[in-house]
Amino acid sequence: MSRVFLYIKAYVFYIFLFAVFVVRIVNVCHSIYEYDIFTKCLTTKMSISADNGESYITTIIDKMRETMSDSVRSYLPSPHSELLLGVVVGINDLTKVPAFNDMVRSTGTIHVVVVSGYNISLVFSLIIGILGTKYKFKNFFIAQILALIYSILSGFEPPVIRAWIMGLISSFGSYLGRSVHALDALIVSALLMLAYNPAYFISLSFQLSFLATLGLVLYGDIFSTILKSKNTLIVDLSTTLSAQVFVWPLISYIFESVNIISPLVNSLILWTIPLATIVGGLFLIATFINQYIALILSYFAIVPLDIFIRLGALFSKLPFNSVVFKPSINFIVLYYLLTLFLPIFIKKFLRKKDIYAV
Amino acid sequence: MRFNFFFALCFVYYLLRLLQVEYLYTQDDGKLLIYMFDVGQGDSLLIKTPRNKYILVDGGDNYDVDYHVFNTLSGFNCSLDTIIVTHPHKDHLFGVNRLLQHCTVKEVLHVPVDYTSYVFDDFKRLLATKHVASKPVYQGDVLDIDGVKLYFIWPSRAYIENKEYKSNINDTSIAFLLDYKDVEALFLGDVELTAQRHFDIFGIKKYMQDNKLEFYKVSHHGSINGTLNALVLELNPVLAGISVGENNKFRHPSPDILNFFIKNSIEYFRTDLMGTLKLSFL
Repeated sequence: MSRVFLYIKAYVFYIFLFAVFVVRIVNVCHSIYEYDIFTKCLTTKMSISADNGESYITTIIDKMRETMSDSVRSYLPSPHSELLLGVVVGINDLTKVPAFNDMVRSTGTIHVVVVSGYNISLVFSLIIGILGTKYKFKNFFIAQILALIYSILSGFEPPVIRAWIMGLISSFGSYLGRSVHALDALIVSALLMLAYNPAYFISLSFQLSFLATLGLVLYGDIFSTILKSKNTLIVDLSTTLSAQVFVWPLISYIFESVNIISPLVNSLILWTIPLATIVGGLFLIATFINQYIALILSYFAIVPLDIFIRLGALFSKLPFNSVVFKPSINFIVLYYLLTLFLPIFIKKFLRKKDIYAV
Repeated sequence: MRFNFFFALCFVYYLLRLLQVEYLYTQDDGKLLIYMFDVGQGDSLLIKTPRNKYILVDGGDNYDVDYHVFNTLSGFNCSLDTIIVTHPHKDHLFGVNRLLQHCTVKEVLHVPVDYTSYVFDDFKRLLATKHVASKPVYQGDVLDIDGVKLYFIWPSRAYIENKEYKSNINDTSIAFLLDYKDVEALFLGDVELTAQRHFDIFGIKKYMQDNKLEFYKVSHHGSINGTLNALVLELNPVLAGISVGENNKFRHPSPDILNFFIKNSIEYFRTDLMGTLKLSFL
């Protein structure tokens, strides 16, 4: 009996957050029984203003981002500059480089131009690396604040907010010496965001970021066990596939097409992105410090950027990058139900065969 | 360990780039090249003289020209000898602003028209902050770069100073004839029929050695008000180049213009369907 009680206590927080979310939506939209009115209400009455502090802070941030853009552009050509700005600080200026824009869309690599969990964990480990151990509260606190500043600088979009909260939960847990299951961290961060601003529910970037992370959490181990290899390309392939599991139905529902070669192309060129992020980040910092250091670093930063662009241009000519396909709602519901529970059975199966070791 | 990989990668990358640059240099040294870049709905052309001087004519309405230049120049850094801005409309000037941000440019030729726009203001600001020499060119001026001559045929100084264009900025476009040995090419910017009717056709033909115009850059993206049929027939071009964007909202190029070319057996090239044009002479 007490076990059941403990079980319920753990999820009370989840239920509470979810209730807040529902109550706030009902408050604004009144009727949740008629689907059409409900969706119309959501899209018109609620706005995703994480940029709802259209305030002094946002103007300063925007000004900083503009200065960074001009600065980077005085060292690097386009589209290298746009790629770097996207990868390091999430500035999406791709409309100014239509040829490159077409390329990242057709290869399915446009997600790199968004600041995500990778960037956050990078900043966090960098700061901890400089400060020392992660078990001192002071270090943990400083690293999290700097990660928050970075999130704000990159536009404070839903994907980076989610990543920051997840990072906060996981690293706080690890500071306490306890492990936090990524799935719990993900659900809590999503519920916190929804309770705070229900409009995130209809934000495409929130949905995609959540679904991609869910895929990574539930399927990451499975794919890496099946595609067992230490080779970066194969690791990237298993990461891409696990991220895609829950994402592709939503994308194909909205854009009415599927990109079949996207996982393959992603695994072939994504290896350049961590390099571009690190060296590009150092270069960006250098532009504020000394122009000669920045100039030298620009010659290094351009290497992974140019390789990404050239490989991308090469692979964008492959066929099947836009197969017309739009799934029905029934398909999507069945698909998600299936894929949500499938990992349980797959993991049981793999464990039985002694293949899987977690 | 990742550092080693990265440095090795950079080493290999620069080695390959060096090979590419050397290869392009051997291929194209001594040749006159004219590129008409595919920059969407806009104009951007590059002239490489036989002794490797670069003249850019306009930059399109986006930053695509930057990558074209990056891949075309024989060198690691962006260095242009002359940029000619035919007129300050966004679809010709926007890309130039991008190049000014990071390229070394010796001089910019443009006409001081009475026109207000953010892009034009940015252009003037960049010229000042980057300390780039700029000067106007008018009808009658001649630019001689390593034997490649540019004869400017439009606009006249009076036309600009008296603001005879009223508010039609297209008609202020710099138009010039390139002449090198027996190769001639006519660049028309966005000059419309009203201005073209003032052209001194026989003055132009004087420079055409073999009575043949090797390249004719069609004015105003192939619109109906950009091609004076009589002028084209007199000049007898070998190839007409139309720089235009796929599915543009203006429905350029005009089918009437295309039919005119077909009827008179004039070959034409359009960037929206055929990409970037590279012409190589001698």
